[in-house]
Amino acid sequence: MTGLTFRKREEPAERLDLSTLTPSRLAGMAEREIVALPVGTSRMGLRVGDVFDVIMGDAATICFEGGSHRFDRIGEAMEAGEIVVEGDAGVRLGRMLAGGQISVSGSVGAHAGSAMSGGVIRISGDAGERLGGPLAGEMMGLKGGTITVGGDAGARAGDRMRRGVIFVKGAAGEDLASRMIAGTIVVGGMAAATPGRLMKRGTLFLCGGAERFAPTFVDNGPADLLILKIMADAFAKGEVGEVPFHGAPMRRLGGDTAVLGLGEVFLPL
Amino acid sequence: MLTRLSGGHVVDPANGRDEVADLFVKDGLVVDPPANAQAADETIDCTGLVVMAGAIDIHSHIAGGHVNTARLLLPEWHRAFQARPGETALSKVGWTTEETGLLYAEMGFTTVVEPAMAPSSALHAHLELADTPIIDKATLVVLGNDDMLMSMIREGESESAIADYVAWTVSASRALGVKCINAGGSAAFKENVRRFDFDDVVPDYGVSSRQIVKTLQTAVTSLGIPHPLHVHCNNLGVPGASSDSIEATIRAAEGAPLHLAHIQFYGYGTEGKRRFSSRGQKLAELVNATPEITVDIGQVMFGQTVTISSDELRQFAGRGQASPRKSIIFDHEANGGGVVPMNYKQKSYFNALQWAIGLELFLLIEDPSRVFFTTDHPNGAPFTTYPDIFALLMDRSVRAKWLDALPKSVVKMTSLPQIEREYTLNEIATMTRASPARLLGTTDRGHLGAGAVADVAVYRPGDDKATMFGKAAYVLKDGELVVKDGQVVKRKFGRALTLRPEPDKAMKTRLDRYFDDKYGLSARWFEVPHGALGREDPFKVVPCRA
Amino acid sequence: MTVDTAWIDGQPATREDALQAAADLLGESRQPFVGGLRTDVAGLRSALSLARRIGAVVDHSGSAAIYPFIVAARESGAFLAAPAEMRRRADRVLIVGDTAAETGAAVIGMLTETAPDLGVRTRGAERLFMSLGSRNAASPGSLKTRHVDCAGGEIADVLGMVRAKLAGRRATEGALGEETITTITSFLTEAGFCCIVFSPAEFGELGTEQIFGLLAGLNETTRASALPVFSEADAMGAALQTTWTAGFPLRLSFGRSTTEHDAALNASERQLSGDGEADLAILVDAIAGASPAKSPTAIPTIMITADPASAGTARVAFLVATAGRDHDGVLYDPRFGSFVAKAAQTKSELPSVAEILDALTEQLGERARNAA
Repeated sequence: MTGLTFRKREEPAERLDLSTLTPSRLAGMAEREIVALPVGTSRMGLRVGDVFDVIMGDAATICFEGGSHRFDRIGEAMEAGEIVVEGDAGVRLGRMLAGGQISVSGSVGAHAGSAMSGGVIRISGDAGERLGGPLAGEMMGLKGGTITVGGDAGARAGDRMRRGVIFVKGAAGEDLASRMIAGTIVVGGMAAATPGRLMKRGTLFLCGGAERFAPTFVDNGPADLLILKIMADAFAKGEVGEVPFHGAPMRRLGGDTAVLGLGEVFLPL
Repeated sequence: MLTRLSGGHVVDPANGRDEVADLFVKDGLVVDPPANAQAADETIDCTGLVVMAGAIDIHSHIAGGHVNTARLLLPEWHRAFQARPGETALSKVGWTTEETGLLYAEMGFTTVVEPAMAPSSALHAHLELADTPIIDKATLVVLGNDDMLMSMIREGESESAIADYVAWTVSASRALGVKCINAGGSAAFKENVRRFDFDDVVPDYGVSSRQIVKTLQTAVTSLGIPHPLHVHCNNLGVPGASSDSIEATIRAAEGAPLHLAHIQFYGYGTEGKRRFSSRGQKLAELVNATPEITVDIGQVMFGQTVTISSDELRQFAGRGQASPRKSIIFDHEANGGGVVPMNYKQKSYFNALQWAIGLELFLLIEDPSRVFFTTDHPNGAPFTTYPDIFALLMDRSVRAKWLDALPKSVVKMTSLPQIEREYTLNEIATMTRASPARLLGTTDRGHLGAGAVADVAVYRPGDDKATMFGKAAYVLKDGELVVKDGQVVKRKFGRALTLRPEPDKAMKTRLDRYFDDKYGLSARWFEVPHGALGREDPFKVVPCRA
Repeated sequence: MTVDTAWIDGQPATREDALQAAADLLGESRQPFVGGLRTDVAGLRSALSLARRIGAVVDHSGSAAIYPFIVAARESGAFLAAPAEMRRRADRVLIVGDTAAETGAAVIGMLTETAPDLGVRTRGAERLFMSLGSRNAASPGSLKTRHVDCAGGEIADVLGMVRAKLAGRRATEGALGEETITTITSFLTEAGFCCIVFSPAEFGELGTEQIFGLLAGLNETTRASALPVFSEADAMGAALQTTWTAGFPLRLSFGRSTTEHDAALNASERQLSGDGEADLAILVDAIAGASPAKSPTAIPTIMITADPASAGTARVAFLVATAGRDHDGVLYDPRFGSFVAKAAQTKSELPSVAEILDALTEQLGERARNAA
């Protein structure tokens, strides 16, 4: 049996809140109930049936055929199951994700994986600002799970991250890992501006280097190759896969000493 | 239009009534029964229901700069942030002026006092209150850390000059009374003093907390301000020191009326291995033995909330316990203040004992006309927890269930399990209606005698007191039906109850110069003009005593 | 000769016709935006009431200037002072950055023209100033001012080094040498009460958080607070008012039953550029001393303005009075740090912002009744 599919009919004129379209919420629902679910965010009161053709299937796997930068809040607070987006997704993709998998073939908006605590998000294209980051006022961003980005990540990726792993194959926008509390971020390309601003703890592997660092990052010299190898091997066996620092010598910085200063940053020698 | 509330159980302790009777309302007022009861234009069948005056909350932080700062600081507790693990007490309370008015009205509260309006924030507070629907409002203006008062005391100025200053402040800010918050403590903190007791002296002024409290108490009394000076004592929340401070303050009343706010936060001793124990029993005994004292409790309930206080010293000291870990501390003119989020946990020894101490005080203070029902909203808990607190006071078995869920270490440290008292409906009505009106000097409310404003709350009685008081069956505000079955059915705006003592002309001139010279501000900026609030009839003046 | 007070497509119209035309536009709009919001408390109350009714996205034209402050404060906390208290209390003032001097001229003026007269630790001394930036911000020569030259982009880093030094943690060589860092640190720690003046817009969210973090560190042992200054201070007043009215400081949406907040999606710049979802804007621009209306918007506009010149490109425009000048009004005043009632200085026949917005709301209500 194939998954439950939402086929986009046309580009929506307003942002859509698709947070209700998760496996657990849709399980056991009839088609007429699903098409009646509200998804609009304006006074027009849009429903699923106004935007999508629904092709019924097992709700454990949900597929969006045709995405949009206005498809917001896909997979919010999902605990299990799978969501596949063929195309782009809007903001807050997989916010508060606790388990299961979300994959997006295109690019996504801001706050993907915001405050998620488990599960895996795979974004083939680019991620918008504040990847894994908290919403207004929240004290923690990513709390667990894995996010991989095939392209670039926008500004403030990993803001207030507490646990889990982010892997960005491409470049990272400015202020990567701002206010990081703990966890691990691997960036294949260059990290713009000053990564790690106000980070307390946590680990950054910046394989393409960084534009610069704040003076409150202190160079600790070459890193222990054995530890790097162990970490790269661990990634290779897990959801992240091969990481670019495998076997490469790196140096280690500690910071941000403006705050606690227990974060570590690994850079190419 | 004549409205008849027929056949309800009228509980009106102010008029000694506790009986099944009809109540008549005409043109916004309670009236004597007409000769012909059938002449009513409208009848609300209250058979089997309990009819009380609208409730009055004498101490609830619902408006003004610090309250709004709490809204700014905690956007994540707004209901719009969905997909959270469960609702919190704070997310249920709502954040806006509109929600405040509606939620209070739905519980049958029709008058609420914002107890900490800084003179410099008076217009802001009144703007928010003007946007708070249904309920009538009032404010207490804060003095006691201001340079003007402390300077006047230092210079040995006359009692009448000081009274003139207090009168100007009350009149300009449109307050219903005067509050004093950690007298001298905030000013001392600006001088980097980190602990301040009742007989400590504010640096540079040589004035003690005791002197400030006594001076204000005298001024309030001499001006005929009905509400006694409303005191937030020193050392709030500090084990041992809090209890010492409140004891000293109570003894300092010396026969003249004094109201002590949220005394639960002062019932803390240092016994036990955690150096935190209940002095609830001892404090209750002292209150019982001091008839000139009135108190409100500031009950703690479990869950996420936020503390909002003009006690800058205390808020600064408490920021280490902030949960979530963020706070805003203000160094304003006079008091300043702070906003510190707090998550009271049932499993925490400290928080659970705080909860128990509040109930000890409620139940061990014998005279329900001298103890007032508050959580110090939102400091001990949001006001939406009131229904649960009514149940705890009225039903011993409810208390037993709550106690069962507490850490065993707490149960050993409180006399609460041994207390059998259950509040009666009549006592609840005394505590939340009759006495608050008397305390505030608002004789037009808090009772159901002829001539009272027709603010009426009708409840559906039942074993579950939380349900009963959570959603009123009917609420009338100024004679109009505004709530039915716990839902607001009509929106309107109430008024702010204010005193209007005639300010002394010389003092006015002096203050014009003072604010201009010292602060570079116009004294007009401390005034709340009638036309500024955008409501046709924003105020109702309450007379001072002759 | 009568003055034109309403326009439809640039042509003079009666107020009734213009209200009708505005209501027509609103009726057709999928997602209206209510912005500008340069008005008094009464005008804003009416604007929010209308916005709620039409399901609008709401923002103020100047909110970009205050947002770094709001975000830093709500995410990490803050120490904040009242200008008048600092005028009497602060014995040392650190002015940080290159824009504070201009943006905060009124507030800084309260400090440069006076000396502290409160407090054993502070009273009687001459107020000392230090400016950290690429130019001397407290320039008057008679003042005891020390200027520490630092490029704008390096200031947040330098303040981070001061924080590290306060906490006894290491830092590497930054824009300023160890000695200068020590000088700045001593200036702050040796104050009886130190006041830091800065413009959050210059430092962004993280830079502002750095400054509040520095203050938290200083207050462990001494006293210090901040005076953030803003280029469009009325935006702060509007943020406060929307917070008590709707729960959030601007950048909110009334599209659904619960008010929603998103600082990026609902930002004025995004919605007016056409990149957002709004297809119609109601813009309010009627405050004394305001900068002229910004470049034309990419979406059709209903303009409520005190400046007839800015009515031209709007689909519908109304000329209104300016609050606190042409009629009594309550406005936010940065020197007071709160709201102030201002009396009219002139008499005006023009309607207030609130009157026009209320009339528009009323018009919509009438249409709804007719339709029903």
